[in-house]
Amino acid sequence: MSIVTVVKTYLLINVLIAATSTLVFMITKLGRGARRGLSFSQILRISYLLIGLSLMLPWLPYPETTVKIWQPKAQVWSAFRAKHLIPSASDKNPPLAISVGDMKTPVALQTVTLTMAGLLALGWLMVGWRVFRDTRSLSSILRRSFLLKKIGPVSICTVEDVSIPFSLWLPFQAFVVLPQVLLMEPAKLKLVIKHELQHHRQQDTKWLYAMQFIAALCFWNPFAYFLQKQIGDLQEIACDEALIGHQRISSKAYCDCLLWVAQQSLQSRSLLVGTAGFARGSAAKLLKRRIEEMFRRNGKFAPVSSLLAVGTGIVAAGFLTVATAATQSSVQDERVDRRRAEEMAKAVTSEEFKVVINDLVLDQLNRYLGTPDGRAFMRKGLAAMKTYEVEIERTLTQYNLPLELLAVPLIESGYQNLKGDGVARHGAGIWMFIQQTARDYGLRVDSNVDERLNVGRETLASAQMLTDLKKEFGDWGLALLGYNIGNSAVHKAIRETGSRDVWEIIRQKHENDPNYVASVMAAVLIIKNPASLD
Amino acid sequence: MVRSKKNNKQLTDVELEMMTIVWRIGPCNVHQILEHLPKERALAYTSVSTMVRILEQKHFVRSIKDGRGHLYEAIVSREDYEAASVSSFVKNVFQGEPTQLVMRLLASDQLTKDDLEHIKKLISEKGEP
Repeated sequence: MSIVTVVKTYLLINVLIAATSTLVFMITKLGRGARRGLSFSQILRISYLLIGLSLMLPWLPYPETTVKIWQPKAQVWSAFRAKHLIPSASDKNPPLAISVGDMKTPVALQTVTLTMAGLLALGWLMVGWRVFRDTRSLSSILRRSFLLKKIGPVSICTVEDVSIPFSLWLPFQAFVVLPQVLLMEPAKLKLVIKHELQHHRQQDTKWLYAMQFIAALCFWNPFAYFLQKQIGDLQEIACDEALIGHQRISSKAYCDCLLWVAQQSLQSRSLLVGTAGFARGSAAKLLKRRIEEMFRRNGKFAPVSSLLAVGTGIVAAGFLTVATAATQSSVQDERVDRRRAEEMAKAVTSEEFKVVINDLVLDQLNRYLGTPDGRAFMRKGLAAMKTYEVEIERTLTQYNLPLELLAVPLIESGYQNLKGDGVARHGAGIWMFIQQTARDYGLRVDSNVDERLNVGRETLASAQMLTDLKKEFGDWGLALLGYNIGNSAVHKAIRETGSRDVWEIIRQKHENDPNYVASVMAAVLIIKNPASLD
Repeated sequence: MVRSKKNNKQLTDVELEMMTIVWRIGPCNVHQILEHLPKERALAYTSVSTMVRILEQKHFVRSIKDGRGHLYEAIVSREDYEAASVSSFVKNVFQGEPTQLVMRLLASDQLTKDDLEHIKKLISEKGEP
């Protein structure tokens, strides 16, 4: 597993945490009406599902089935027309990564990477220190505690110097720890034990570790904290809901109990710290919300069926999966630099067809080789090419054309023999001739027959057209451009830019399909170096 | 759990309440302590027995076998205790509680007296049907 993959997975986890936090927020806000809706315990379980997915999805291998959606729709223009066509679909998913193309300043990039790695390590060290400290304080508390009784696998204990009851799960033992004073209030003691046991039952004490892990791993990510707070609140309110709803505990008695515990803790705290705290802090807000929810139950809130809750969970999980696929497909996970491209160019032996490597070509090379989408497209295209390769090579040789031109249908259609869709300026076949150009070159295109779909005939037409273009412009770069925008448009471009350098013309925006010529160059390199796709 | 071995001569309020009964009625078992609690204080058996175990751990009482049960007898006398106790009594001293690894009944870090007043009012408002 390369470092780049690790970084990519880490970033993906962070993206999913943000998405989960947003989904949980939306479900909580929209899932509950005034009288009906999801119960908090249902929302909590859906949230657990989403968190689990956020941690697991980034590790799944990227599925290469999304390629069908992305098809470059390059058009072949009539020699006599040069109208603007529909934008190419090939730029829908530009890579998200930052470093593409030449490494002009390698030193600066390394410094930035090292600094970021250093900051991350520092953050994790601080988190680790806090965890260590808390673990020490916790084990000291447990050592000093006395067992009150055991209820199932849970040990209920008491300690003299803890002010708020808490629960803890460890692999072989679960605990509920109570302040000593609580023993003197048997009614409240019962309620608190019930509440804490409900947390154990809801698996909250186990999920606590997942939340801690996420908050530690993504310590710089504000969504990690939102999510932690959201889940914490949901856990408490769901607990209250279970007790008041199912166990038929009086809301008033329960609230009085919470208030009593809060007062006790305040008394013990005021000895050490002044009470000039914040008014309306988050603790107070949550307590207020919990009390309001508890009394709302008396107004008969009807929860929806489990089926609806499960459905909501599945839909939310679906969003998360789509987010993962979308992020994965767009993120560049490999880089091709100039040196590697020049190595690849060595495999191109044609005298006539000169492969050019510049920043534009490198961009396309990185797009095809550096993203999962790009690689998938190329693999499929090369596989489809095998079907027609022999026939096309025969025709190209017949016309004395360089075999590098096999790259053209790869970019035009991915070697898919695409049908025309009835629109005059859309192409068809593997060479993507438009209707007029096809007819100009002797193909029959009417309501009964579309000879563009006859690979042999379309290839002959292409070979003829390419020969004509090469003769007209003398340079393969300009000929390819002519294949894309039409020869009169090329002449116009030469006039306007005053240059016969195809790259100069392209930089002055005379292409119709952006990056067409650069894509063809990149495709040539890839065809000659199929191992680059592995 | 490993019990702490400290010989702490300080008792918490709760422990003191239990100890007072033992001082008053002499060697007794848990049931007798329960009987001697004020009527409003209907504590659970396990609560009292745990408190007595704590007193034993702190070497304030020792247990004597009595048939199949145990009697608890004071080791430290009331006078000795009052003489030795430090003027500032121990009242549930708040040490650094772990907030990270555990689920707490409620978060109290930022609660103020005012917050509690508001909440008390809220409960009494809501409590009215």
